[in-house]
Amino acid sequence: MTALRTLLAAALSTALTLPTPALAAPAPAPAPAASVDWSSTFTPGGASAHLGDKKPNIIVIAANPGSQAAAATFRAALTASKKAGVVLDGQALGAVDSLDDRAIIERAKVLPVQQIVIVRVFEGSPGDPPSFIAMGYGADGNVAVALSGTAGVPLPEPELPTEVSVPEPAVDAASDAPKAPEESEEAKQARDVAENEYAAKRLGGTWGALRQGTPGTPITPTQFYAALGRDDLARQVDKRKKTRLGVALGGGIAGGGLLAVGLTFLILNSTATKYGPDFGPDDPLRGGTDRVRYPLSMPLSGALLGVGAALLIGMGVFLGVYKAHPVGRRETPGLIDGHNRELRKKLGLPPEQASVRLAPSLGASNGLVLFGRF
Amino acid sequence: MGRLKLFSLLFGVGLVSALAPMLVGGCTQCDEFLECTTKPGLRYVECGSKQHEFNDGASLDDEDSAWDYCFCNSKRLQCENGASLRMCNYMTYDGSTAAVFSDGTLAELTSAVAGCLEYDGCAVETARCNYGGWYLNCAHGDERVYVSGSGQIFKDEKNAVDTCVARGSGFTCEPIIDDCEDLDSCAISKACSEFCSSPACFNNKKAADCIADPACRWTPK
Repeated sequence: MTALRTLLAAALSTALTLPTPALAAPAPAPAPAASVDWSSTFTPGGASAHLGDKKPNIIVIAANPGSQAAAATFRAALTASKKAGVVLDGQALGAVDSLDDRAIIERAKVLPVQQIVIVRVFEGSPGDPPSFIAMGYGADGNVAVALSGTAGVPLPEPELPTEVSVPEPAVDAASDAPKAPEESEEAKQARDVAENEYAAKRLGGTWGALRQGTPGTPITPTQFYAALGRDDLARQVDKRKKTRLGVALGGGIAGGGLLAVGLTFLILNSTATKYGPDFGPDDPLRGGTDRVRYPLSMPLSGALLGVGAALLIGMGVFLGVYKAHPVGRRETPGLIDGHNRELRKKLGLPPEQASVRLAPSLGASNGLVLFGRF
Repeated sequence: MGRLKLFSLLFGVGLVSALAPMLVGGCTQCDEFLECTTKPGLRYVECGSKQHEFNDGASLDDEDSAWDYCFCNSKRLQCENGASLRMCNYMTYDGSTAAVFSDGTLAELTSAVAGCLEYDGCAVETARCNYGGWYLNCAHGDERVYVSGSGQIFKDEKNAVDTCVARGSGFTCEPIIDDCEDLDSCAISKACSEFCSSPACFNNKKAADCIADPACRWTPK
């Protein structure tokens, strides 16, 4: 959901940044002329306007051809601002030109950074300077800031609201409504604690890959049902696991053994004539056998082989059908949503709602940025 | 992945447990056949340690039983003194013969039979037999007596020969002597009756004629 939201935000922010040279050059452009001077665009004050006082570690990634100079200047400006911790370039990520933001974030989030800034530069119409879009994401993949501008036009300084930072998830479309009274500091702290607890306890993932927390650590079905408070289902998981193990052991040993025995004697019987008694070409009586006699005859060997194979197939079908989960694939999303809703309610948090938010992006590239959450 | 490993492990255990006896014991193979003496044309093959096959269809698990079936006649010879004798002929194996009395005493075949029947002496005859067939030619005073391997006593040699010859298609009558003069009389042999020189055994078209002819032997081509 977060990734989808991110992608949507990135795509819409590109499309709605009006008027912008990006529309004139929808495809990634080749490297702009070397004479483009980004240092006047990315001033220390403008580049660090959204950072706050926590001095986060930031990675600035040039994500399309021709964006290297802009990204480098951006990095330099962030470093000069002294509002950032360590400022990295995207070299450690390898080639990212063909990746979308989500894939880049997946790569970058293993690094010790708190913000991931992805810079793309678009060549303008002939005679016009190139423009850029810089999307800033938190390490959790949520959009933190969206910047846009044109080469040569400085980003506004902090005191000017020239860029729009995405507010916390709790603040959404509803903020278009008349503003609620300012929260007290204690209320904010309480809400932060509740949000953190929610983030740690929320469930996610799919039936086959359940997760807990944000971004989510894998959990077993037993842990999942325990988190739901459904101990009865958790016990069923254990019981079903034991049943599956019993069937796997019984079916595997019996089926595999019978299959192997049947196959062995089938092969031996098929070569019984080759190694069987030979009474000579002038055998006067011709009443003897020409086969080695094995404990299991050919038909019996074939029958054992068939029974063994049937047991193994049956075991496979059973294990495929009888899962450790006592509930079905389709029911799981409902359980997850229900749990998350209950959790939010219990923590006194507003319910998560699908929302779309339109925000202005002022400055060199004036326009609108649309954020969505579904 | 875990299920695949478990399945592989179980299958491996089953396979190894099934193949272990074969791997330890090795694959069964049969030895070359031995020519038996209890019945003309009888042959014996040993496969592994438990399968003993005969070309008459007999199959015996016990090696001693198989050995006796091949070389020792089951029918015992009744002695004059009330004892009985089992005759064994290992000539196709190592050239030896033996007799086993009812009390378990072992003796040499010819002397034991002669003593048993109170004859003057006996000799093993194989010249007119084919494969491992044999009979005993015994002297009883002025008479000749013939004892088959199965203990039957005949006055006429051709009857004893009849017990030691295997009949079959593709057989032919061949001479066993170079000169008809070796016979007591050329008249007793059809092959020598016409020209008493080299025996013309080919004149004996039928097995019975050949078997009855002292100058010839019914043998595979």
